[in-house]
Amino acid sequence: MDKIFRINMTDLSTKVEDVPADWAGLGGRGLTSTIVSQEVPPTCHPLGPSNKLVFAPGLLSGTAAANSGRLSAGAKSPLTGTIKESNAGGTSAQLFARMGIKAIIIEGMPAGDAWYNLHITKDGVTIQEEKELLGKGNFAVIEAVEQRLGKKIGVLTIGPAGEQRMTMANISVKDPDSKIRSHGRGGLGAVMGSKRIKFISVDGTDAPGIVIADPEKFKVAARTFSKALLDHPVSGEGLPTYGTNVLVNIINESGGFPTQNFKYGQFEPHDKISGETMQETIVARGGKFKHGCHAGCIIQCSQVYHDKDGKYLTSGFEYETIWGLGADCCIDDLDAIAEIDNIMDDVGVDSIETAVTMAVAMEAGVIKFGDAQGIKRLLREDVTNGTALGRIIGNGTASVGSAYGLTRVPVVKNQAIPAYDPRAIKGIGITYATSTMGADHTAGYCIATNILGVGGHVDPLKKEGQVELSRNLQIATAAVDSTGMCIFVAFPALDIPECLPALIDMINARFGISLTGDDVTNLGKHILKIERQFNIAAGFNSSHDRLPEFFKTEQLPPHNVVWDFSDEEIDEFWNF
Amino acid sequence: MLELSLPARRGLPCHAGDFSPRAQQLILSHYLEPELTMECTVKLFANFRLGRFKVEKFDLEPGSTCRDVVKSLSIDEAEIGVLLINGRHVTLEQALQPCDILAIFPLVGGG
Repeated sequence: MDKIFRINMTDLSTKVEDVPADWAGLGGRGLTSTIVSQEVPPTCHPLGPSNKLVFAPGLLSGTAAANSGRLSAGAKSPLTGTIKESNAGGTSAQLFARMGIKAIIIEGMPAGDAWYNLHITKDGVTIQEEKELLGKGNFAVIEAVEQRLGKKIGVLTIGPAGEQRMTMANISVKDPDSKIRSHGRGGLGAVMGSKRIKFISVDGTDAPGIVIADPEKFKVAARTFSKALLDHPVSGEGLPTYGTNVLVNIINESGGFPTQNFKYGQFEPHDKISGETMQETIVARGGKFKHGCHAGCIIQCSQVYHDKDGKYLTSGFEYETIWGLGADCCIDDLDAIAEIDNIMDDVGVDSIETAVTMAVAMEAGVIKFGDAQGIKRLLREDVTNGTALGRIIGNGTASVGSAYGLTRVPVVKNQAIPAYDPRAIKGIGITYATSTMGADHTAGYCIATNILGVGGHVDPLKKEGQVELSRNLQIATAAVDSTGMCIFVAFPALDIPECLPALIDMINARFGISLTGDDVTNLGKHILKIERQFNIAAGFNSSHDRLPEFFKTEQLPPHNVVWDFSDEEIDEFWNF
Repeated sequence: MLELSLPARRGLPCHAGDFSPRAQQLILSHYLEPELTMECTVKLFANFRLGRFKVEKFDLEPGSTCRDVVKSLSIDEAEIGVLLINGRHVTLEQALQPCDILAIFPLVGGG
């Protein structure tokens, strides 16, 4: 039977508990949000002892289901003040699931100055004092932990930003190549830092593995599901070849590609940083343009990007990062962006929050637009060493905007708006405004239907249909985020009729249950509602479901459009 | 920051996106003798570029549609994900206007 591992950092005790009945059918985001809702006082300080950091693999993690290796991390976010779930690939989700760990709950806070690491085996958790790796970057931590405990060890780690409890700090997860995937958004690295945990090592030795209730049914469903993923042009061909960065050109062409701190909707040298250029560069330099963030991924949207001498520069080089440093910070040099991506992984900061923060810092005149060297210096020197400027930057976009008295500060609920301008792609604006997580494109990816022609078409420049689109996608995403599935399964799920039923069949076969499509929709609705309830109890209301004022007053070229939803229209979102 | 499509050889003040198609036509008729062709820009992306081009100018017959352009490039209609003219979604039936920028994408995604 699956267990809950509970770690109390106040008295440094650990417990292995049975899974309460009402948590049994949950995984991933559904479980982290349920635990945070039930156990974290909504008004608590996110960096204090009352907050809890929860990790949970998805319902299908650890099985042979394709693309099921995502790990959810949840807590009250120190960046947004809302509930937070952020999921990542890497090796830990599958290890946890095979070790019979339903969730890990880290609570309390040590009284003294000591730092710790947690070592997790199938039998429980050991808390050990950590001295050697304090102040170290994430790559050095992973290397050192592998030297101590072997190459197979799973690692969750924070860099200097997390140690300093900066709200752009992420939690890094070791991937199959000992590189890094990240629980990026919402400052969860700061929560881990507040509990004085530098890293968590995950030893899967003698893991009991997963028992599938109906193996034959599972096998059939898993095959149908994999076929749908491989048959769809996006998950089967576009993403494996060009990565997520294939979006640079199409978002730019659509006029919704935020440029120079959200001043323009197109970036003139866009093709220099595009997925097409990236793919050619990777091939020419002997990198890999196909790469999975976790074992069992068949989409392989990740890549390994080499420098001009053929040496490793970065991996997991995503559209949002490249957009943020590229168009938003006006850096038209893919190598410089790759180098900064690697530094962000090492320092342990969210690449979206960081890139948008840097663009606002450029607008403030801290450094000039296009200054890649300046960004490297701010990260390596100021953020890493915690100078006063480094702390202003390390606390994100809103922090810099406030410190420098700016108004063009693209955040919702204090979290940076990612790579799609809501004035020209209105559906995603509804998601940014209403998401329980603050501005988050993955929460309800309206780009699919507004721009990409997946799941039908809703005109990006018109208001009609956007609230309903965002609502449906946010409900579906909350459910998918509970399965351990990569969100990109949504592309085939939106277009291929067999895909979603196969996913539900796999869950049913795994647990010996009989969920229907309606049950899954209801699960998604339930998750959104408990998350919203947490936020309301934390002090949020509909006036926080708004985009910054400048989107209403500053026209975005080339379509010269503004954000024109009324408050009442936005608030319709929650009518379900 | 805008990409400009200037039909330089004619020296026209024609910036796609700055003028409505109607205005573009008026400018054209003001400066030109009636012509048998109109100039448009075609951009290709992702695997549509393979063996073709990134961006090229075409002299099209007035009234040409997106489908005519797609056919002339031997692109399989079934592989088309998105067609944009001047940054707006259109269908294959859409007729092009002078100075239009037509962008042709296979089905792509990310995020």
